[in-house]
Amino acid sequence: MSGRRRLIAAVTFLAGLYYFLEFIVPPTVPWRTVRGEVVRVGPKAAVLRVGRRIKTVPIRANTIIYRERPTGAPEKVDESVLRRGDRAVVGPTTYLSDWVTDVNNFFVVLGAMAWGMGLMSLWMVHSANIRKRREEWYGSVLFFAAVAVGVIAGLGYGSAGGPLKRMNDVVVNDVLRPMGSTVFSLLAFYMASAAYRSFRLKSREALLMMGSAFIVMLGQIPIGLWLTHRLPEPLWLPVMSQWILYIANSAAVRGMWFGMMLGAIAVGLRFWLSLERGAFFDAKEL
Amino acid sequence: MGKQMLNALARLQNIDRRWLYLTLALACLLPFVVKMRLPVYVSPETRELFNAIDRCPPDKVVLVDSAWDAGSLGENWGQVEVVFDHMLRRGIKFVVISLDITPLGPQFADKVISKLVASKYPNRKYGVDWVNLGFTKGDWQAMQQIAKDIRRQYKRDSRGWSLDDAQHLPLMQRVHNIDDVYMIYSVTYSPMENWIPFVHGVYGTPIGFGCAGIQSTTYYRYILSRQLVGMLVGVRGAAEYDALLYPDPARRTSLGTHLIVPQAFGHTAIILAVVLGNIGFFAARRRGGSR
Repeated sequence: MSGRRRLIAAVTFLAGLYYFLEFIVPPTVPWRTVRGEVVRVGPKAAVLRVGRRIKTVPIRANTIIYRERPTGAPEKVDESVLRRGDRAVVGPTTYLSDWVTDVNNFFVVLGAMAWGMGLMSLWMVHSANIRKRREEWYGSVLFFAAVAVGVIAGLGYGSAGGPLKRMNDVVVNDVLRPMGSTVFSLLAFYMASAAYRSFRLKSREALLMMGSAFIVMLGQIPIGLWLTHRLPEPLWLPVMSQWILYIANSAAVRGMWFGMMLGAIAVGLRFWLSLERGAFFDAKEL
Repeated sequence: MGKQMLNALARLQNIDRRWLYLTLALACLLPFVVKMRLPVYVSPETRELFNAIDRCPPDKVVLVDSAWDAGSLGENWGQVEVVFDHMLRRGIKFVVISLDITPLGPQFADKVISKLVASKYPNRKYGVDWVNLGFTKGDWQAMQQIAKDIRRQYKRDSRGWSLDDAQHLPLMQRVHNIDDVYMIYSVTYSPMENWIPFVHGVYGTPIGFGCAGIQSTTYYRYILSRQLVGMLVGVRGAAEYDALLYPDPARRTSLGTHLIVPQAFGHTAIILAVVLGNIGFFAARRRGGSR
């Protein structure tokens, strides 16, 4: 096992372990934690009403205080914020939840770095294409030109006016917007062709599927209502379509998701323990 | 039925795909040339979302996660347009974010809002009636941070003003954490379900979605369980919301209202193609041989 692989396996395991423990371990030591209604609070102690009893909880360096929101969700606060009548939980910290913001920030930064790494990877591939004059290397020149234009145009976002603002408008409104929409709208043509070629009534199941597909498709558009609005309301196509989507579809989707989530737990465990095969390092070590 | 007739019908299952493409293109183009309106049936998920937003108290804001760009513009533009229109009209304050999916999200949201402000609500002001905080990375971790303290995730808005700058962003001086947010409305091709466990599940904040029609089937179960307060489904959802917002059809101007008729014709063309293909299939089977 290479050093890099060991490092990634260790970081993955520790990160997973942290979130697992943070989820199951209470934020304060349970047997030394007091939950109740605030009577008064000072810098050195909080006095809480717990049932009929009054309890004084010392506030030390490792004490944390959670105020309960109306929904019951805990909110970490300083003692100076607490008011008489608040519902609060006071106790010594178990430290895990104290780090959640930092660990979350680490994750967010990692996610942002992944974008930068993607750009670096593209840079390496395309610069090699140009250096070695590979086939269609001029496409790589276009890539660098597009990135440069995109970055410069991005500087114009939020400006009130000026050449950068105009450039941003051109890139977003006149280039990205029509190109993105065009590529996406091609799907409609492929879907129409695929539906025409493959949707054949070869069995009863296919009949059932086609019947529900037609009801849902017509129910999604005003023509469905226009065709059936003279019938009793339960027979309107949009109403029948709603029944299919809310009842039949939801039941099927729930069943599917139960299965998928069981699979996801198994896959998650394999990732966590770095047991997944066929990953980058396996390919390198072959 | 004569053999010649069967032969002719059997050919219907082998129509050249270019004819299909042309028919679909013409079906979608026709309503742009010949203006027409069709009746709109308002589905329960749209009505629920409309009612939820309409109930927003004056001291709270709606957090809009507008994370879409040109790819799903056809469906998502109309979905944010009608909701922004509703909030600007009622004076409901809102904060726009764009979580994790596309860095172009804030720009497209800005375009929708500026178009509405220029055409209908010239008195509404940035920083007072709405704020756009821009794009941020992070999935449920970012949601947790925003819920606990929005300034942990965003120090500045998309224009570069500090969130504590009371002169430029007076609205943000009363928005600190999820307690100040009445509901979250997430609009993108496929909204992140993590809003439900990490925000609704913990804080009880109502969540609404605006999604592509094809993605909607996975979200209906959350409406049944009341984990989603409502949802706008594709172009249809936008057109339905517009119908609730403007009962007079002549006043409906949203993209959803404009696109629902071409979509209706497109759907009909696809249904007819499938029916023709099956007529050809049965004719060929009756004649003997599947082709």
